[in-house]
Amino acid sequence: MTVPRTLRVAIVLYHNPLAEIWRCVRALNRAAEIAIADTGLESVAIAIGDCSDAPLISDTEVRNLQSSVGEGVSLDYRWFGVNLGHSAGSNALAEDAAEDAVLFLNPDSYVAPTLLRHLLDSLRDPAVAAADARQIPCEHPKHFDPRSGDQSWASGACLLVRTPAFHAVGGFDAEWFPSYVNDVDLSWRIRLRGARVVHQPRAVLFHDKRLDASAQVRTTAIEPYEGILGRLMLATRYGRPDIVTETVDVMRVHGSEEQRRALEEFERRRAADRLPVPVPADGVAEFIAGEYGRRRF
Amino acid sequence: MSNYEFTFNENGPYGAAVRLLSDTDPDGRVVLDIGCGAAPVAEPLRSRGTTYVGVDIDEESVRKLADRGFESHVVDLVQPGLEQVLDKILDGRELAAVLCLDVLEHVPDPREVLEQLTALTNAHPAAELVVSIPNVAHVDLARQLLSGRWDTTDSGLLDRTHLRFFTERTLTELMTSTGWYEAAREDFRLERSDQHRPGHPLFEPKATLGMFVRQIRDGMDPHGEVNQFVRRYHRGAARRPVEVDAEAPFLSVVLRTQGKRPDSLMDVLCCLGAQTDLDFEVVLVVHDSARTRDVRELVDLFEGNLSHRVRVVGCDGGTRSRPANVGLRAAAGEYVVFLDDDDFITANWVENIREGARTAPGKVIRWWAAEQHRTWHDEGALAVHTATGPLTPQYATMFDLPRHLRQNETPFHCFSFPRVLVELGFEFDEALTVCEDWEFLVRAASFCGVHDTEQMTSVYNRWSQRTSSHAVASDEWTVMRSVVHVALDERPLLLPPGSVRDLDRALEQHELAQHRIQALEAEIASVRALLAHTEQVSANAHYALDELRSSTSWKVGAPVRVAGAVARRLRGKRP
Repeated sequence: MTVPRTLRVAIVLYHNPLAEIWRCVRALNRAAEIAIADTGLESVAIAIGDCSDAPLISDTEVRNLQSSVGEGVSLDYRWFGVNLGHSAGSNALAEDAAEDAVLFLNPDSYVAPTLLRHLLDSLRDPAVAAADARQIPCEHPKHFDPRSGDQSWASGACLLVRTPAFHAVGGFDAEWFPSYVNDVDLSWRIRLRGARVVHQPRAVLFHDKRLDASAQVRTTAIEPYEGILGRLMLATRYGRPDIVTETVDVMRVHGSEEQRRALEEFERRRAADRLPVPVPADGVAEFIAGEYGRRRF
Repeated sequence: MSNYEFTFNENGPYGAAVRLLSDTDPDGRVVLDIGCGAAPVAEPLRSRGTTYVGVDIDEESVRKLADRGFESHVVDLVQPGLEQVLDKILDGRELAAVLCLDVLEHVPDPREVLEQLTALTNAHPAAELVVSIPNVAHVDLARQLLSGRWDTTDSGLLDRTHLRFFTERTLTELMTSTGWYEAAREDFRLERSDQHRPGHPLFEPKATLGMFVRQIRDGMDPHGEVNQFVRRYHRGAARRPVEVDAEAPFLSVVLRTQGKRPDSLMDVLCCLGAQTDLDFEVVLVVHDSARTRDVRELVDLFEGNLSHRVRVVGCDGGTRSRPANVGLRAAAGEYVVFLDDDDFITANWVENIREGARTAPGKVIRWWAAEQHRTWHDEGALAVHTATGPLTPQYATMFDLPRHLRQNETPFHCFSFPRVLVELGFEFDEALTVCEDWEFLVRAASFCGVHDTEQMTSVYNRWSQRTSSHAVASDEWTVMRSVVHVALDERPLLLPPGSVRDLDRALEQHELAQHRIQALEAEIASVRALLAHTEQVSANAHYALDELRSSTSWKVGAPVRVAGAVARRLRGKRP
């Protein structure tokens, strides 16, 4: 079946405020109701996995969330008891998925009511295995084909993937990319199998990003570290030692303390031979001007 | 004996009362003047064919009225059974009207008196009530209070025997709640009331202070110069005042749309649905009421937590200020903020405004916007619109009122103001086709002051095509800019503390620049003079040369010069 008729939504939590979880579920439920009413979608199963130190949602609150969702929509919550990270957490939520497709969704988001309708529309073409949404208020600058939507990689903040395609590549790579650039890696592995990864700009996701006084998106404390380590691992995985060298050279001179700490960790792993085995990725893995593909701006 | 011996004057409140009554054709019926005092309207009303009957508690006044040939009775208005007493006086005669001229403010319970009159007129449903009552909200009394005074007088606005005081609102509430509905008015206005203090800058309308007080008072309602409310009322059902909604939200978001851009409107609604502080309402003004239904349908796509807080209001015609005013009047929140259907905001937009209002209550709250260039795409494209450039901190500046007089540095969705400004008469100038937010902001900032939260919670989208901001010709902006300046110059402008040093610095820079310009101009003049002198010398030399060349001796000597030149060349070739 080309267009998914059943959908699982995987949401990984880590110390998110309860109000944020409600915000996410409220909007998602509405999008599910509309997709069920307007398209051939039959069911949406929301699977929430909690990586926090203690459960974020009480049993009572889980029941409240469950009773808030509409017909055809179900909600399940589980506390992992350990911080699995985004990749392993997402894999855990998707591993037994019998649904046709899985939507990986960040909890700090608010989806437009038409989001699922548009994302599912992108999967009308059987060659398309994954699609992501346009993010507001900070739109992602990555390039996409203005007609077909084809792109280098899809953002994991709101990523719809056909379940067979996801399982075929073994899901997210939790070993080498536990939480960062795991979406780039997943996209490239899907594309390496010949499937397409597209952007659907009509599917809108409000992603709760905040701006600093310089109009830059505020980052979490760990992002500079994880961003550089992820880049080095990604360049290693996709056979680009030149990018590894360039990144190390630049960061040694211009990197922040956190970024230099990432270099040290990478060197430790390299010394211990704990790096991914390179895979051939001609025409798929793109490292352009510090990004993973072309940018529009 | 009564203290009041006022005489009838066509141009005074009594003249107004008589005219209001005459309009109802009271000919041949009784006009009952309660608390008639010296009865200054008795003769004018009799001359208009009415049967004038005066009643008063003061026996001497009643006797004097009788001496003038009028029916009169001693009646205490606060006595129990007033209705029966008056009904007995009427004795079956048809009642045209009851007059209450300068009476209600003298009784301890005017409601009771009015209710008795309501009961009396049950048998006379066509009877009218004409009231004349002093306005305690006359601007001169505000000026007196500002100067620390509340001095009663023998008569006038602060007559020492006044027991009750009325404003336009409290008068109307009292009348409607006792079953009296206004039919006509001819309020008696006095620019200079008996409370006026000539020569005092607070009172003189051409003094800046007086002008400013007047500006504030006139913003509230149009009754600042009314000395006496003179009004005629019909009978109707008593109506109790409506309870004020205690559940008003903190913030009213006035969202303007023409209904032509559903995609960007959906983006904006997503931004609103994602707010971390949900204590707000959305007044969605559709500037084309034919599209109201489509817009409502789009809103109803959203989950109830957002859609239930959105009111969709239609509006037609006018400039961009029209929907802004419609939204402003419909807003119920403590603060008001504007948003257009192509703006983006971050999730802490409302939270930031609330935090600002908590930190600096009563002030205009202001924050920053990042700018992003965007473009619309043709219909066949996958995307309806996309960003074409990064977010830049174009509007990350602290508010500066004098600088805002030159140009607006604050996008419309980057400031919020207390809704009470509407009571002060604030609205958008509907003559403006653009810049309506600029003029509003400057006036609001002047009144309230501005608190910068220094948070960047807005994204100002600069569209490359197909939007109103780009459709506006630059000469129109120039014209509107002049209109804004004229409007701002009509009234005094308050500057916040700290402005003196800021202005001093700006003027100093201006002075230095002027000095520098003067020095450079002097230098240029000197260079020009030197150049002119050189040109003159050069011209003289050329002239002399031409003279020489055209002389006979020069022509005769030509062969010699040629021979000399040849000889010089030959010498030059020698090794």
